[in-house]
Amino acid sequence: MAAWRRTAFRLLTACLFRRNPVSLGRCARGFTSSKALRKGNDFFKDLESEMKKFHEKLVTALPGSDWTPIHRNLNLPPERADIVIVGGGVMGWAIAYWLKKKERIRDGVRVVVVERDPTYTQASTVLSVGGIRQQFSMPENIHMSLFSCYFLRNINEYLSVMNEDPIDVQFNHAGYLFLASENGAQVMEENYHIQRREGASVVLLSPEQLKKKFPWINTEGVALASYGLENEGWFDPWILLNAFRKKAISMGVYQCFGDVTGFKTSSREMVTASGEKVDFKRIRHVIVQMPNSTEYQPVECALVVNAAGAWSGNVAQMAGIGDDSRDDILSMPVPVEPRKRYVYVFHSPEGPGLDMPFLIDNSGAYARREGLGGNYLGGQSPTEDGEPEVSNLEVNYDFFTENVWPNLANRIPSFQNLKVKSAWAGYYDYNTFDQNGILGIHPLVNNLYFATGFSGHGIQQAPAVGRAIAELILDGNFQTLDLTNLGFKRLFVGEKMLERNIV
Amino acid sequence: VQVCRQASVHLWQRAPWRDCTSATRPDRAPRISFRTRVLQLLYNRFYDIEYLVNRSQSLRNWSLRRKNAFHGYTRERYGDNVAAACYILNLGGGIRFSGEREWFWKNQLGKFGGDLNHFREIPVEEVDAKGTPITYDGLNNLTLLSSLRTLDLSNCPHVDDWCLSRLHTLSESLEELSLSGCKKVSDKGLATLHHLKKLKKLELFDLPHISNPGLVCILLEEVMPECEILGIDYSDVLKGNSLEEINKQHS
Repeated sequence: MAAWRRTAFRLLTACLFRRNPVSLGRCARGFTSSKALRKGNDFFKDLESEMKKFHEKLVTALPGSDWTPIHRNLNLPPERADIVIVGGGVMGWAIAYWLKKKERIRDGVRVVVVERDPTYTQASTVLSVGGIRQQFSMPENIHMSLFSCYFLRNINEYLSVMNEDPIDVQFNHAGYLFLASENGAQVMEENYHIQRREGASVVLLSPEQLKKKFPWINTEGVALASYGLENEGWFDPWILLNAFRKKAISMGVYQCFGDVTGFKTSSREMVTASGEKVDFKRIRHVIVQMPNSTEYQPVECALVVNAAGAWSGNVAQMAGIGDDSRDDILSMPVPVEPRKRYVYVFHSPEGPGLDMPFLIDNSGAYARREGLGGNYLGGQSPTEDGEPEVSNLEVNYDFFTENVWPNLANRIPSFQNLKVKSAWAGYYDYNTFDQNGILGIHPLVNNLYFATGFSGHGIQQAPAVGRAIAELILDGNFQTLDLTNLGFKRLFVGEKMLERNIV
Repeated sequence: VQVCRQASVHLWQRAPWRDCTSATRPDRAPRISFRTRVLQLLYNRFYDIEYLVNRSQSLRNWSLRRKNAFHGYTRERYGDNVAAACYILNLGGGIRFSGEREWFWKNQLGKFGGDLNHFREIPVEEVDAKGTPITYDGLNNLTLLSSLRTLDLSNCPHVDDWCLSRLHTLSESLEELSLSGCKKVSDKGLATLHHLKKLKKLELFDLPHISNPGLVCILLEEVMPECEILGIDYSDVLKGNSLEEINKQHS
């Protein structure tokens, strides 16, 4: 009796409130059919999803949202931007980061970084060996490298993003060891004095001291050696690139994957002081084409930064620089071209141990330790006439057996016994004029900035270059490091700023 | 904020224009406290909170830098040794001059004696900086010491590979070095210790950041034959695994 009343009561409440038809079904099987049960379930589930859909529609339709009835491709860059950075390597992202760091008000500049290849398969940044050194002959290079070291040391102060792990660039502080024969000893000593004066900790070693410190070296043919004690070594460039990227994106930089296929420029005829007529150009739009599609977006911009690495010459040509049909300064092309360099990974069981620095032989061959398992990285810059072709990144292993191995085995006898494990190739953004970076604004295309042509030492100057370009753009002048010697003027005047220590 | 920085990722993917996504880490699921979660939510939504949090972090960096400032004035007036002594004593460490048997420490009120003036010419021989917030910039004070024999940097939270690379200036005289418990030291920093030619004793207890401690120990001993390395046991390589298990894996 009481049981019947209980179930009737439950049924009643269930019918009224429709709370939990499943448990009801269990108690009073005869009264509700399974069909009604299923309907009841669906109604509640549908209600939830309907509410969600309605909520989403409401959010998108309210004023202030980007909803339009016209279908848009969200991968396109914005239609208008203040600064467009062509090239998403470490240079491009360093510039984007420093621009955002230096802007005085939040969202003061809208920065868009356009990168062609999201997988970075051909980018020089990720294929680089990642070495950093202060042993240059130009004071500007030394200071840039010193600042980059300072940046890497305090990288968490600069690039840490809330909620992420602290950044560790895997810096190996092993130092660089340059060896010089009789011919190069004089130059090395002069460079040493310049380096000490600018604040790099470098020492010169005679062959006897060298043998005592590194007993595994064969000092035959070595007249002088220059060893960096501090702030020199190698690190992981991919981690640095990603750190810059994440921090810049968190500060509001727009990232766009697309190919810059052209610029829309406007020009004005102007007369120089000597009466020569020149065409003064300004880039109005950057045409960005989406990958694997003909869809493109002309981005209206105020400034363009060319950080395209090995392909900067092509990008500059799109702006009309290097146009042979003219006979003013615009006919002079930007002298940056890709040059292929090989890096070989080999294993040598009796190789030098933990004290091995980044060794650079007087013949140009270099080698460094990789990890703790007896693996080494090595390579050599080919001579001018032996330059490999740059259409692809295929590795030529004969180059190792013919050129690199004999030099390395001559210098480090334990390398006579080695086995090549793998190799890769990457491009140098080689400045054919004087192998140093080109930093600054082009004199005739008034809103095109260049940060390219570093010829193999770009990764170690990236933070400094980023800051310098950001200062040029936002402050108008170099504030911290004066890099006017690396500007465009030297290309037109013909004055080479040669860097004598190129690897 | 330290806790915020180490917490997991899901709350970050809020603002739609912030495209940075980091890889999800399913194996790591640390317990985030309610306070941290609230702070992260507020950080993502409000510019004021973001500013305040960043400001507090930069204030922390500033105060650390201030503690590790270069004692240039003291150095000019009283000499290198007294400057280094002032620096270490200010941080809370201890110092012993050569020829003396007693150590100098800060007293309970945080002051130390003016009789340091007598020690202008006497070099500092031992420095005990256990647990002090010494950093790379602060080591500039210590690198001027030409006859430092013992340096104890155990349990210093900010000593990392960069600091170790700076120690090469003490290569002429340093005989004992202790790095136990320094969480940021890794094998890349230990590789730079080969500059210290006179090093006889190296203490490396409890260094969690080193991968393959046994291998690092062997390689270090190869490079520094006269040095005795304490704290790394070769059996560390078999951490937790018994010999039978390893044999089973290989066969």
